[in-house]
Amino acid sequence: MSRSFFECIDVGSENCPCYLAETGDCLTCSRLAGLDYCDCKWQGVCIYNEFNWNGKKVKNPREEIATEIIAKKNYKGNIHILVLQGSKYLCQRFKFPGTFIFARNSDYKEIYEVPLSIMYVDSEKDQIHIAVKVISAKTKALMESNQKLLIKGPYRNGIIGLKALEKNKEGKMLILCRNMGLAPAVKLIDFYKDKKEIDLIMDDYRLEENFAQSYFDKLGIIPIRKNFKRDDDLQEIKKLIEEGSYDSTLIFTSDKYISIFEKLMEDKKNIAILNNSNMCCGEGICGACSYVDKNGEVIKMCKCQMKAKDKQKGGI
Amino acid sequence: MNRVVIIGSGWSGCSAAVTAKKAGADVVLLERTDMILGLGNVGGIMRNNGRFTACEENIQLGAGDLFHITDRLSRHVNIDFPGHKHASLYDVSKIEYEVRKYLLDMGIDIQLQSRVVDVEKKDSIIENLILENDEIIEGDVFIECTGSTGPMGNCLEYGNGCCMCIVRCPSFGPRVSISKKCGVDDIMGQRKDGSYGAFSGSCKLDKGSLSEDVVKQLNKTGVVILPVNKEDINESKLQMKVCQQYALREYAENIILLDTGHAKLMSSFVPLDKLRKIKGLEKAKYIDPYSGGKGNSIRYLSMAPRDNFMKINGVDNLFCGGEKSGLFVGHTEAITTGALAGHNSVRYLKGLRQLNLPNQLATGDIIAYANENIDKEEGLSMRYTFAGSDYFKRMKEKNLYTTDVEEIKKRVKKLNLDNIYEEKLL
Repeated sequence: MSRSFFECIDVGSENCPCYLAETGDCLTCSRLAGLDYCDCKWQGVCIYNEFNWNGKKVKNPREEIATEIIAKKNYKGNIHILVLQGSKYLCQRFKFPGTFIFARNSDYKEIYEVPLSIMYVDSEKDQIHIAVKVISAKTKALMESNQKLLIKGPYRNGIIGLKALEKNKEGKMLILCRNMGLAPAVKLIDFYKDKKEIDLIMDDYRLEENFAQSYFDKLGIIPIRKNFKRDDDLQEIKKLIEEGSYDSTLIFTSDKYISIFEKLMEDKKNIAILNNSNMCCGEGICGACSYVDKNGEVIKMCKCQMKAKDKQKGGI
Repeated sequence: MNRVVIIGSGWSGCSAAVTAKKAGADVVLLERTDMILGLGNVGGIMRNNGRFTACEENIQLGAGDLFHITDRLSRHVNIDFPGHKHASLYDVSKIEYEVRKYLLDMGIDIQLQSRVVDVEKKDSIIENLILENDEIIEGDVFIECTGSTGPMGNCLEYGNGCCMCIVRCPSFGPRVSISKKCGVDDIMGQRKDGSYGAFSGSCKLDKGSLSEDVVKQLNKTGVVILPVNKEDINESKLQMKVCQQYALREYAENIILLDTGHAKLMSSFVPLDKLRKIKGLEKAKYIDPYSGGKGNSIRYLSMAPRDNFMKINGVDNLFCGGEKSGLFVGHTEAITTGALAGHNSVRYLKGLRQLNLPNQLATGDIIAYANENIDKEEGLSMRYTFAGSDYFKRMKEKNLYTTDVEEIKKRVKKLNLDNIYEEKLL
């Protein structure tokens, strides 16, 4: 009766146990959350054991790494693609769906860190592609840099409902994406292109220039172009979903369109959505990404993985 | 629907499955790992001291099925070793397959790699169990046989950390206390010094790593006793172990090996360098737990308060068996408690009066005696086994201990309980 519906995205990873273990706030281990008995559902090496073996300290805290900006391509509408020179080590960790980083210009303080989806990883050149839309202080500061960026990662919780993807390692996948949601869609397609049959429905009507098109071309995917604001288009999408027999659907849009599409879909089981929470520290410490679910439980969205339908049901 | 769902397929869970099935229920046996029998896969000792009596009582009560298998698979019968007489040693390499086959042939639905992580409850009734993969398991009555060993956090907090035992928490996930999920607090056993839990009492050595002489004697007689070097004798370690029937001076001064297929080392753990100083063990290697030189699994941290019908207090349709039901040690004790829980679960379904095994039988007496003592502070540091320590003494004092099979038959018959577990209730 005490079971939470979420799982920590970092559990069992090289970054577990994390800062929350040190403060007695672990999202998984009861002992590292102040209780004096074992009551966890983690099916892997005991976090409490790992914490003790690590001298009761955070394991592999994410640290900033200076990366060279190899290329900067500017698109209309103040969107930019940055190509960063990473390392094999980083690129291997950044290739998974839902991965994001924090990046900042080294001339600015840490409060200028921007959470950014990894758009594409070039494994041959060990390069990382990220898309940035300049909006306000943080992104403006970031784009002032032309030579180096400090990046920190991997952070893993960019997609809510990841289990919907893992459950169907082969199969047919639909991606619905809009505006900056095109960036994580690129990586997802790259990750699954050899494993799944993928259909992509894209709304780029609000973009002055489609920054992702060249990537879609390279990955051999032909997007179906729709305007998510038009009812006729939504009805056509509904029909496509009904006829497509997809075993997973990904919605990479703002929360407004996530709700619209969820209402359109009859089978809500295998849905994954973009985690649109306000990422601030990424470590579950600051609380900026928290929401309170219907039971009054505070969920830290930078760390908590759940079914997409539970996320949509819960928050206030 | 008359569905009995048993959580955990160690000896007590298997025993509960057998008696519930015999009483006519549909039985589902859920197991966290890929093998049934749990610690029964590394045990092996049967019929020693008062366990002989308990075994024969169970046979007369109609729960002889599992004992017949252990008897059939015994590598050695009627052997003595320090403090113990007329023991049988079953082959741990063969037991799992045979018991599994027997249960399947009975029509018991065994679901492996099905770890229960939570319950859905209405008032004081469990309606469903929830598995790790969110699957919902429906049932009318439930029997918790999840044991009390591990998980890793407990082995670290109260022991020497994970020693890679047969429980295999990292591979299959930690044990979950179902009664605790129902809101019933677990009772934690203590050692004499007041600390919690106890070390499992034995390890297995790879026979192939022992000297030819040791292996030859083991295969022939079932027992090898090797003196420990004087400077390495550590009697204080006896207090740490769960099996108080083996917490004897001889077990500190000697290395006692029994042949259960592997070489069963009757100590919680012995550092490998010390072990290898002993003649015949120069090349010894642990195979259970893999880090038996460092420690062993920690047990007795998760008992549920129950009545003498084996029903857990506070939950109407949850019974328990094995270590979950008290500070019991051993397979015979697990089979005894499991059998009663399985039978009474069907009586609950049928709305019949529950069976209380009388204290004229050792099997009934131990269930009641363990329950009486669990509320007392000193009771938490006691262990209950037919095979030794305080309870075997009590058995002898109460004239319950006998190896006369005819006498045991008479006792059970006199109580009108012969083959009670064979009775089909549904």
